Amino acid sequence: MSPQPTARQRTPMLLCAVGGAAERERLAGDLSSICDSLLPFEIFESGADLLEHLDQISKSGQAAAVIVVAESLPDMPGSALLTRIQEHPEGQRSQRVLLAERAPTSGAWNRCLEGEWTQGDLRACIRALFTQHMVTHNIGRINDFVDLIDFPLIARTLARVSQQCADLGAGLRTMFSREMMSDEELEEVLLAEINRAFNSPEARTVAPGTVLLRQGQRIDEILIRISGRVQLSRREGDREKIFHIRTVGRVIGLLALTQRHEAFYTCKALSEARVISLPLDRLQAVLASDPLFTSTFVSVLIRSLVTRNRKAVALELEVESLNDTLEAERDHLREALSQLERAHLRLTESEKMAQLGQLSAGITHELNNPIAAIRRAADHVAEDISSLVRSLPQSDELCGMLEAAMRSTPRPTREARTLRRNLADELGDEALARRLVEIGVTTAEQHAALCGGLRPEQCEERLTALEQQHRLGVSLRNIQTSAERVAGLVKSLRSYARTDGAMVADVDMHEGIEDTLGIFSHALRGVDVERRYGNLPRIRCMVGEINQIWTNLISNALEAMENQGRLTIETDTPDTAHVRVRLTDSGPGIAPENIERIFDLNFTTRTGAAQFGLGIGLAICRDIATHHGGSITVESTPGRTCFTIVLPLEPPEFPEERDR
Amino acid sequence: MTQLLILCVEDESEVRDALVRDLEPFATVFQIEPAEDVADARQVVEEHLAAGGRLALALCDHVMPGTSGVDFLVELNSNPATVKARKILVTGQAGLEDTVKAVNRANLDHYIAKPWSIEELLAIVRHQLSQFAIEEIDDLLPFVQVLDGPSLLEAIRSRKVQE
Repeated sequence: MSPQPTARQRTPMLLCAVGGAAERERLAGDLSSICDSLLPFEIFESGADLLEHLDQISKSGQAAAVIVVAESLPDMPGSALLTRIQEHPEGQRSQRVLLAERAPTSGAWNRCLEGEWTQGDLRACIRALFTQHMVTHNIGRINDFVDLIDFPLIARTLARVSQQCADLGAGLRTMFSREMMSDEELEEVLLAEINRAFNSPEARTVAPGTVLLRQGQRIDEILIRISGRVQLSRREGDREKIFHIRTVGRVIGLLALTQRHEAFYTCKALSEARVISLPLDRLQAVLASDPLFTSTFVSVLIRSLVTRNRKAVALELEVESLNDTLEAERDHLREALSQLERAHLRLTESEKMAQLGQLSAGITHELNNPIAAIRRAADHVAEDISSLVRSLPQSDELCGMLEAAMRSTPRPTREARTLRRNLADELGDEALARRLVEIGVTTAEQHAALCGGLRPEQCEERLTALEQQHRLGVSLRNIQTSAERVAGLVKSLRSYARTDGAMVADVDMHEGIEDTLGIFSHALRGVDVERRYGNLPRIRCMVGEINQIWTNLISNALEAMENQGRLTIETDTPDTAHVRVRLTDSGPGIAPENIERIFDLNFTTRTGAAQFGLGIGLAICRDIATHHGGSITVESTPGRTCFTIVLPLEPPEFPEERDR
Repeated sequence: MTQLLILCVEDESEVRDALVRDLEPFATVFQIEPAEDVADARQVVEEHLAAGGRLALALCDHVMPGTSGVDFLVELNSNPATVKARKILVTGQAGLEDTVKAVNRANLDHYIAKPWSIEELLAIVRHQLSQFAIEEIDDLLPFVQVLDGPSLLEAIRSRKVQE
């Protein structure tokens, strides 16, 4: 399919529709003369024929330039046909002439020839319209139709266009010069321009409270405010919001120009005000014809919109800064809440520790007496038994056994079994071997020395006596060591649970660590505790609180190691003003994704209940260290987790004050 | 006669000494063997079984270095040679979770809290050993003196009736 020729390449055509045969003949004669074979024409009998031709016209490489239609046609009125032609894609660009007795008031025609046409009128009309068509749509081919072109018309049109351009330029120049004016100057110019362009329209005076425009109502005029204050407000839902008072310009109802003639704001006079009403249709007419007024009006309009836009931007910025402030406030509150939570937790813990302190003080006091009694009684029993035994035959041997048993260290059960088995092999008596090893007789020679030359019943008697002494000795020893252990624990507990919250001078870090290890001795039995204590200066600190740090770290380490492994405690001085304690456990380590969070409040990896009830969370540990002007940090790899605590020899003067 | 073993697993020597001494009334018919940790206890049991003996009763502390007492009891319960042995936990430190595990998985027969009283200890051990004997031992006569005599005699009588 070849591309259709563009309108510009097509041959311009004159199309006509005239009903009567006589008129057609006359028209054909006139047109032959007028068109002078330059402009081909075609005359149809009916509107339908013309429309049909129009449908096909692009195929024949033609374009409708001018169309002449008589009002009286057999199938439709000429004016109706012209309307259809105007809407036809091929008819839009055509210039249209109506031949009628009387021109209708309006219609889709460019010219109307009334009554009988004369050839002269028709010629002038067709030349003018053809010229119009060619200038507008096909200026490049104008030279092919020189005889049909109305050059004076072109000249006049050009003169008018150039005047319009000049006016427009002048208007733009004035407009720009007005942008340099102050608001007051510009308003003065506007009022002067209104007076000029609208022949000094009358201003009316309105009382305060008068509603000049109501939101949503149709308006047909805009208002020019000459004096007085007005407010623009808008109702959204059941809230009435005032948008402009100081930013109300001279021209009110601007948005109505673009918004379906509906008032966007309700406008109310706040004081007595003088306003001029300008009907929209008159305004539009003046705007179309008076470039000077237009430029002033546009300037005022732009000025007014710029002012409002500035206000909108300022508001936007204000909202943003308010949001920032709000966000900052919220952060602040969040932080305050978190601190409050910490403080609360610490208070709770301090309370717990204080209760523990009181409890343990009470218990230790109560325990000290029985322990003292047990220890002394054990000594006394030992003395009395010694003197009792001295009165027996073979007192030396028996006393020796008693005292040896009291001083002995327990023999490992494995070793005892081995010795027993060996001795049983030598003596051939399992039960005897058991008894002998028990009292420290481990070889056949020693047995021979004990029982050599004795009758079996004498031997048995001697053995029984020695067994008795041995057992006495071991029992006394066990009483002593057990009492010592209880005494040690009580001592640890008493100094450990010291929680008066006061800064105490000359505190030995090692004592607190040792006390804590003492408290955990039951759980530490499977743990290899390695102490690498340096020579530490004594520091000033809150003893109970610092002990909470050791408690927490050791408790965590034990839990991580499941009570087995190695706990290394190193102490040294990183500089002259600080002491440093490093606790390293051989547990599985802290997962990298958790290590940043372990000092966070409420963070825990525990799934079950806390075992000991004294672990208070690393968040509190860090708080305590910080309160002392120190720090706590952690490094962890699988199999090695090291907490480092650094504390100053002297904590800051008023840590509480400084924190605030 | 098959040598019957009472095993005492306890890591603190003072406590172990006290326990063994307190169990002396049973020493005439049972062999009482102390062990200071679970590894040691395993060895004792192994040797005893190898010598043709049986484990009658295990008294076991819970918190010890290495394997815990409860885990050892679970171990005994899963071994056919020791499953019938009576199992007693003697501890002051087992938490609820451990105790539940001991009851459910080690078939724990009794829990003795430290410090124990001698009467309580003897009564419990006597009862458990009597039960073990009645269920597992053919010749009950040697135990009548040391264990729960009336129960054992009753058992002997009813066995005869059944024959």
